[in-house]
Amino acid sequence: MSRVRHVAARVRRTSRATGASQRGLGPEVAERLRWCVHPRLYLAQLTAEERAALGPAPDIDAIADHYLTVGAAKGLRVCAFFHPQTYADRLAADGLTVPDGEVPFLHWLQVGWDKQVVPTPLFDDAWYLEHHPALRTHPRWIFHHFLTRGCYQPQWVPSPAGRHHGGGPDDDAVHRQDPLLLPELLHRADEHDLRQSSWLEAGVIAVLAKRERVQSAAMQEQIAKAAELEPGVHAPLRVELPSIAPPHAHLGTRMAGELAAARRDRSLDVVDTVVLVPHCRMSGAARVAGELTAALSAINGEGSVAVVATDLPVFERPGLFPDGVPVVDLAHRMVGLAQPARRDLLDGFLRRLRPRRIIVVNSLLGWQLFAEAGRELAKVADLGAYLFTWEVDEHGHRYGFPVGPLQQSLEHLSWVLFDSQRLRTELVERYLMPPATRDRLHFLRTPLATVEADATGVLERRRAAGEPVRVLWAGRFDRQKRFDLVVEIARLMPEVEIQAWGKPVLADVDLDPADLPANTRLMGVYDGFAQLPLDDVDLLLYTSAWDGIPNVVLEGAQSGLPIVASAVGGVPEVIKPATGYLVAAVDDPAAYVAEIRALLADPAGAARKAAVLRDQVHRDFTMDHYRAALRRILGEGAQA
Amino acid sequence: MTESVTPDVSVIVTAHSETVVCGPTMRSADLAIEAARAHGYVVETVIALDGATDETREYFDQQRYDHWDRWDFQEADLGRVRNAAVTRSTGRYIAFLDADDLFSENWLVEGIAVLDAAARDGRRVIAHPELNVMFDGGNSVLVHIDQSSPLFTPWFAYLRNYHDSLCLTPREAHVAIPYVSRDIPNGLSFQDWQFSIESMAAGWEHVLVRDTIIFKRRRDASLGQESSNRRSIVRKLPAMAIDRVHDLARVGKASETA
Amino acid sequence: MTIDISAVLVVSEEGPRAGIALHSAIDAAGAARQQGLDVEVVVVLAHATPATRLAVGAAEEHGARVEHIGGVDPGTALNYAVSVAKGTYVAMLDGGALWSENWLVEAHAVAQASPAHTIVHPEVHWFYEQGRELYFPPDQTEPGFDPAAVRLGNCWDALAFAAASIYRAVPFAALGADAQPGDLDWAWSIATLDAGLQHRVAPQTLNFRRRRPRTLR
Repeated sequence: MSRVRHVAARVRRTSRATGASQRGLGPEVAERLRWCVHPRLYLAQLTAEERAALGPAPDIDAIADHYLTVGAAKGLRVCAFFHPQTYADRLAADGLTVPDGEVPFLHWLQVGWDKQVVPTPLFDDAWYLEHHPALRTHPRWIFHHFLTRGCYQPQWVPSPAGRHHGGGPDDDAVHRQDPLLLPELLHRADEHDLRQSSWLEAGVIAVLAKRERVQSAAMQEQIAKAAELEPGVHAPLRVELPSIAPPHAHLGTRMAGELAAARRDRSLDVVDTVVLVPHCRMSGAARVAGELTAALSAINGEGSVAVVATDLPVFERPGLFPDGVPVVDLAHRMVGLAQPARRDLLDGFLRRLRPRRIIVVNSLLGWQLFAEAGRELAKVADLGAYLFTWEVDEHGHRYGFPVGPLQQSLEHLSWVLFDSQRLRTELVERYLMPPATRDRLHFLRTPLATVEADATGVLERRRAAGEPVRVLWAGRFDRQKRFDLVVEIARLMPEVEIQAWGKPVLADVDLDPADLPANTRLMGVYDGFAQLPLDDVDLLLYTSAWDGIPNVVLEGAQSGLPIVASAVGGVPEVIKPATGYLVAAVDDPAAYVAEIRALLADPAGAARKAAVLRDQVHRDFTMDHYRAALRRILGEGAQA
Repeated sequence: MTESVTPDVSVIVTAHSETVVCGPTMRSADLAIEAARAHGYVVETVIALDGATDETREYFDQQRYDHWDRWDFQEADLGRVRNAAVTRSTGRYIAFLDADDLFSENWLVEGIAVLDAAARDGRRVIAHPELNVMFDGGNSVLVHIDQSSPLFTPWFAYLRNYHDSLCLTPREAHVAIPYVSRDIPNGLSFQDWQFSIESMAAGWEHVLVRDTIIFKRRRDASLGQESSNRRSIVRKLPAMAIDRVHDLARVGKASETA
Repeated sequence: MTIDISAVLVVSEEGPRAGIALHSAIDAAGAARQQGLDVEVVVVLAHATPATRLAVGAAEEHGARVEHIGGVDPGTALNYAVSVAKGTYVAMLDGGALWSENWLVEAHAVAQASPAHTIVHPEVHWFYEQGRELYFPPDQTEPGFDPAAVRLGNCWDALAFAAASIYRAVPFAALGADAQPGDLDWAWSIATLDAGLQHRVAPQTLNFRRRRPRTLR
């Protein structure tokens, strides 16, 4: 019986309930195995069916288990820092070999580890110690430091060939056991047998070979002659810096590969307009980006628009954008890259698409590109931006796109769009803008979402029936949305029930769920306003501390709900004395209570206001208006 | 603007290529000027345009700035344009403001009060805000050190300029010690530095005005090399000679002929 | 009689270091002459500072020809340097760098295989100001080389070895005063790729320079 089958048999005998099938290896070796498991590398070698059988996000133990029972026998690699050929070579240098039938990696865990054989070209212990002298006191084998810490943090340089990655930090990498160099290791994966090697390892071996050539007698003679002329060439007293050797171990090569792949993925050639968004998940800005994209497609035709997600590799809701509009997850292709590589990659990507227009909608990288390369980019495309609101930090200071980034990019922008009049006016006044600048800033009412809900008459019916008062609140539970006010309002109005929808991340608002008043009910996440039980509530409560014109208020207005709302940002452009209940003292729970009581005291009056509001938003916030205004701003005439 | 009486202070905003970034600057200046006038001070308000770009000229041509005098210069040097603007201005005191920086609202009121009080005591004083708050490109705060502070040491002036150029200064100090223009990169900072040293050497006392701030926009932090160039030039100033530096800013000891 | 190689040293504000660059050029020219190549050494003073002028003050004594050009854009200065070269090939050097002694011989051997299409680089760029930093420029024929990568990060130094006709067909760009160190190299790399030229490496040759330009990555 081969060793692996022996191990596997023992593994199968071990109960999974003990949670350590790899215990068959002995606790010390099992611990080493756990340190070595790199799920992403392992999964990349499995078939689609095998991956599916492991479930969506298998944990370290599940991968280790699968490796011992399936992968080891098939020669798969579970560890990015085990390179079979390097191990064999280095073992041979010690006069040893892996016995026939044994799995080299398991041999290393049990034998090579104790002999401190480094089984990868990616790590050089002498280099690591020389460049990180503080590690001389590391209590274990120095490779252990790199394996358990160094490979997850950008500052550690493990080899004369450098860091092996783009230098971008990833705080969560250590928990996922996802070494920062994995994107480079998996680069051009189809050209390599990942069980044996990879683009990165082949590249590092090539760099090391080139360095070796410098030691040749012929080169040394040339170097000695040069040092006769300039002794400084030896950089005496200084530590050597990593070598660079394109095309391997070279950032540009990975970047070019990622760019080509991103274009291939979506069959992109030339695009008229590119819309830059931070990520692809639900948010108010994402909905506006969706409306903008649909309008641009309608104006310039199918295939004229592409959306590029630049900041977070989150790709949950491509359906936010119209069918036929390619959505490129460029953020995913930049994982691990630091600045300025990220900016340059976006710049390179945009230039290849040769767009006539580039529009930033809350893409941080897009704003950065405009600020730092806007002058050049504006020569080849019209640059535009969409602004919604500034943000407020925990000290109460404003920050965000309308503050710094706008200032740094304004001169390069052909136009800026606003979803509220309020923010536009604020900026015009803050900068004392002359007409030429002012004229580039445009307020556009975001068209209503297609929601069929109609809560007309619900308030009066529920009041006439004497049902208990129920208040609807919906949003993220964060500092901006002021869920803490909702709690205070609930305490002041014990007779009222508040239904709070949204993801309850209470850590952000410093609340203990156990402390919530009994009349506050957490309803959980919701997927679109239409999903909310509008027939069972009396009014919509909105408490945010800052905003543009919020979707939830528009959608409440659109469905005819009476609304009590904080007078922040663009809210007063919608909620006025004639259309709802506006709270000026936005931090004061009692002020909200007073407006809610006023609303409840006159259901007929509240219903009238809601009806006026409903009419107004249906009249003003229309797709037709939006597209006509956009066409004017873009100078697109009246075609299409 | 024409004033029949001698203005107490001339506020001089210098601009070259800035546009909307001056919005916050000008609003802060107007607030500080309004506060000074409310205290009964007469203020001369000047926008000094030095080789201004078309966009800058257009920006300041806005009607909303009609209560400022607009003076055109072609000096192509911040030091020289400041000297020229001083010559043409009429205030007892001069307050410079760079086109992308901001005054705290109380800067002029408190600064004039400090200078007036010093003048009554017969002291020759240049006033600085208590703090310079750097913003935009990384935030930091420079706490000005009063010359009478035990923390003050003249040797420090070898390494760094003690005093930012945005100070409130009696006209005669600027007339006696004009900014030099030197053909070195980023020379302005050196001009400030030299003004700081030479004014101290000439017996002017640099004091700070409590609770006042000037906010300075800082985009570019990579000035290390230029700064070291400037250090080498500073060492050559007569007042920084090794046998004289000890007396720098010791009021009463300094050579008036420096 | 035709000159095979013009070894062109362009100096401007390097100061005493320019003397070392000149010394290395003269040594490399001597090595090439021993192999039967006809080599001229040309020193071009491009708006040179007094210290730099002094540093190469003995150039003519060592058989170099000295040319002058006033304050112009760096790209324009290099184009001028090419224009005064009389050799079939031009080897470019600036006052902050050194050649390995075998450079002209080995680079000439590589270029001769396909003179109209080849630009030759040293096998190793050796930077030394911050601590030794080795840079191995890619040979375009190397498997895995992706020309698209050059648009995202430069691979080659413009001070290389090539037929004079190549430098004349693809001149250096005038990038103006705002250009950063390395931008000129990058622009030339892209222009030469676009012109269908081949960047090759001469084995066992080195170029020594103090600091790696930001764009060479």
